[in-house]
Amino acid sequence: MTPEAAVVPPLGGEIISAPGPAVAVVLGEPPRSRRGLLGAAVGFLVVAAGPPLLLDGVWNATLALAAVYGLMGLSMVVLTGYVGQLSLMPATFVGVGAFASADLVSRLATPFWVAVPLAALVTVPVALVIGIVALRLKGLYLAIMTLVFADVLQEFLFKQSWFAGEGGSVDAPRPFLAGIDFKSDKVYYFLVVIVAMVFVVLVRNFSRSRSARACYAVRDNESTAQALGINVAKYKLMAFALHGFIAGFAGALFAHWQWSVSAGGQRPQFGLEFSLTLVFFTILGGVRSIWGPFVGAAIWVVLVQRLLAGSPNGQNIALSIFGLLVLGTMLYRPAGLVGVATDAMRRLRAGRAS
Amino acid sequence: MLAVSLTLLVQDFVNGIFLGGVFALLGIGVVLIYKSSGVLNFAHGAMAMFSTWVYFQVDRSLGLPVVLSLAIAVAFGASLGAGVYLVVFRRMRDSGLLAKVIAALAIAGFLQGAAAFIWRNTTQARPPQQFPAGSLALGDVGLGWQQIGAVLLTLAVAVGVIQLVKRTTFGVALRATAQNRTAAKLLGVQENRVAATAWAIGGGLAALAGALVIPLSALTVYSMTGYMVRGFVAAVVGGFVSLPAALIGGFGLGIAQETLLATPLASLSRVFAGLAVAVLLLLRVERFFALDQELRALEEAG
Repeated sequence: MTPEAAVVPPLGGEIISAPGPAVAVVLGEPPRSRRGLLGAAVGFLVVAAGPPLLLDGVWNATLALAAVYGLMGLSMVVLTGYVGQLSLMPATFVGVGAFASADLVSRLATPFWVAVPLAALVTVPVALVIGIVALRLKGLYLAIMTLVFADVLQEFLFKQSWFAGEGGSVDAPRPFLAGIDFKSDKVYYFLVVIVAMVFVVLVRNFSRSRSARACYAVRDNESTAQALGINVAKYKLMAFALHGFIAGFAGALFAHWQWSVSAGGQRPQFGLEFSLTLVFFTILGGVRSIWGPFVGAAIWVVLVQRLLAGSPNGQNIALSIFGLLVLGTMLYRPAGLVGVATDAMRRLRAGRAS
Repeated sequence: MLAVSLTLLVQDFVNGIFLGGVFALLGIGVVLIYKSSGVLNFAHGAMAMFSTWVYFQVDRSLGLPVVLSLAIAVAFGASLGAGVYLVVFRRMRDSGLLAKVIAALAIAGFLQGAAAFIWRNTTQARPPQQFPAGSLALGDVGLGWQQIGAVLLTLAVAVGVIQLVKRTTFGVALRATAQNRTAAKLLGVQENRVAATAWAIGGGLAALAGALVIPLSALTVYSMTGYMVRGFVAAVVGGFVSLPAALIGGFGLGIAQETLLATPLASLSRVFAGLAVAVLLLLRVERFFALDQELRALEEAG
């Protein structure tokens, strides 16, 4: 037993449901009020509805992509932020969702509205397989295993014509519903933002639940969590399933955002580079925060799609900049930009109170 | 049709020894770095890649003898390794494994982006071979001089590093740090000096690995990532603490993966590393190579 075990009082399993000092130790922060959520939701809606009405038309596609990327990052929050498992293959799950949805719509004539959630469900068992492996492997080995599995799936799944199309690409058309044409980027942007918001509320509710508190305990000290009677395996698998579902959902939206999916040749679209991008902007925004991935994704997408759009090396310059930013985040502010903002607000409030 | 061409088999086997040496060099560096600082160096491939670009650039613009260009590249790799430790990981000694992995990934991203930017106008980067271009013909099988030379050089360097860790004061300090960091510090081991040295050796080996293998393929910003992953697999054999195991693992992986190409199971070759690592972890092979104490230190860090 490690010495840290003494930090958490040795109490029974019921401690997880009863709010008390030990839970505060596990949770690390006091619960916020409902008003906060309402304010955040209103703010988010303003952010969501403002740009398409105020900005140039080209921004619609850019911001839609930012929201989709933010959703992908949210899947990292659940897995890495809440349960402390680092996967280097989130892009692979995104790819599974993307291909599944494109296949369903363009080859099996499934309606878009059924295909996207179905694609997310298809991703769950794939993520669970990795989750089962993760039960046996800790930190170091898990990271390597996911790195290697990403390669295996790229070879064996993303190159199969039944899954990834005859020529290595599948069309992903957008729907037309009740007189609304989702071919318009503006409409698609609204759709993506609404979906992202639904997931934000779901994950936020999850983050306050009894299950999530168990997850935090597993993240902070696995041995202690086990000693407290928490079923570590159950919560790890739950996190992987949720991770897969969100990543798959985001992948499906991504496929239809870009109208088609391809696995890519020399540089796989859903390979390590994409996974790194997801990990980077999520860390920069704040990996334990629900808004973190959206902040990070917005910075990344605006940087790559707008500011550096003219440069043929935009992606590479952005990767360099993000490398440095993430390094700075890890060294000085591990809670990310949202953490910095939260601290500043807390200090402001404390200043006003005194 | 199960006919396996013998010539092809031998040819692939030899190529496997060559690639295995590259995996071993990377794996040994990864193990040294892990033992000294608890960092799983996900920037190892990027460091190798960047140093190989330096090798290419020095050769192209200075026109020195190849040996000198190689020496400069290895020196650059060593300083890069030591620099990365001193600037980043010295401050992260007490951080969790996850934080260190993410920092290493960030460095990898930075180096890849930087290399792509610096050498953006370079197409067809072909660094020079260190050994003559021809090959030694043995019957139908041709052994490239570059391959023969690289394997011999790899073996010599690897044995040298293993002896260094086995016999010198640096080696004792390194092993002491890996087994019990607090006790080592109390006994006067200067962990930053030990770790910076280990990182320098790791970075130098990575540069050497890149310079040996890339002339036979092509140099891009991404070309070392696959080798790094296989270097990790080599390191897994010894539980990230045993150097001889990483050497054996590297050669074993290279030979198995390439020999598969000559058999009807050729399609498995590219993912062989993935299958191998699953089996290795399942059987817990590291038990046979590493001290319990070192493995336990690793478990606790994870």
